[in-house]
Amino acid sequence: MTTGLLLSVLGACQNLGQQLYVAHDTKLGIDASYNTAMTSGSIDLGYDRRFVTWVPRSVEIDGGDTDAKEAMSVIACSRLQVGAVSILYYDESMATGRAAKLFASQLKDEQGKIAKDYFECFSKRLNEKQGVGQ
Amino acid sequence: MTIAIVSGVAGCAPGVAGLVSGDVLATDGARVIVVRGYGVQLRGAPIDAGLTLGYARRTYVYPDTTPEMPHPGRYHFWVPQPATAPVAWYGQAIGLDVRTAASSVGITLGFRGTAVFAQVPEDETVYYRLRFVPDEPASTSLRFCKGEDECARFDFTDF
Repeated sequence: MTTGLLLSVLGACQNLGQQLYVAHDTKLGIDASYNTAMTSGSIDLGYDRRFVTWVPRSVEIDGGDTDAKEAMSVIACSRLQVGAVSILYYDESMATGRAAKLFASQLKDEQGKIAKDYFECFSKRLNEKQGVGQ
Repeated sequence: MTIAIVSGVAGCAPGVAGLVSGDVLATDGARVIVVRGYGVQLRGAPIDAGLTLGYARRTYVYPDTTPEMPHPGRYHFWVPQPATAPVAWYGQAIGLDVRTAASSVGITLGFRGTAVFAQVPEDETVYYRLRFVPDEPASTSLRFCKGEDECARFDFTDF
């Protein structure tokens, strides 16, 4: 139900379930929504807040159940600062698909050093780890 | 009647019409469109189609290479948008907010804040780095590439 509500936030995208997204929705008052893609509706009275990160299942599994799929490849780091009803700051680094796979495979070698710098939260965590021994 | 009008706008060129003022900002790697509506705001972009009676603010972030991007500057009564969907958008509305997108309809009386970030189709290769402060849209910073060829030339350290 929660997912359906937030999918309705995204408007006219034809295949909402087949896109990766990060969404936020805050309501204060009276709200009525209907999502035609999900055929789900809701009525809210008062305060409501939702955060969703949706990663679609889109990768075929070799040799497995023909109906089952893996989640799409994603590597991401997000930082979100919120106020009472609003978003104050948002910082995101993300790679999807083949880019995510290449980034992950390069983490160990020389080029990986540059790749790690791209993701601020990852490099901070790595520096903290290295700082323990220094 | 209201739904019909908004649907009509939604089916036409994307943009925001009404008692609105908008700023198109050239920022670091991005073009940011900030629209403020006072009284009536009609939105035609498919991702955010709708109508607000009251106060509304919308901020849309696009890569600076987006085609058909309006020129930086201030606009009144009609704020054009490119046909391409933004990589991120953030909106607030106080009053009566009606949503009439193709896959979703709804209505809010009161306050509504909505944000969508990092919207990526399932089969796309994308590198994306966004810093976004809604109250300081001019400070927005974006690095974005799509597709294996384009992303192969991407400079990870340039941010």
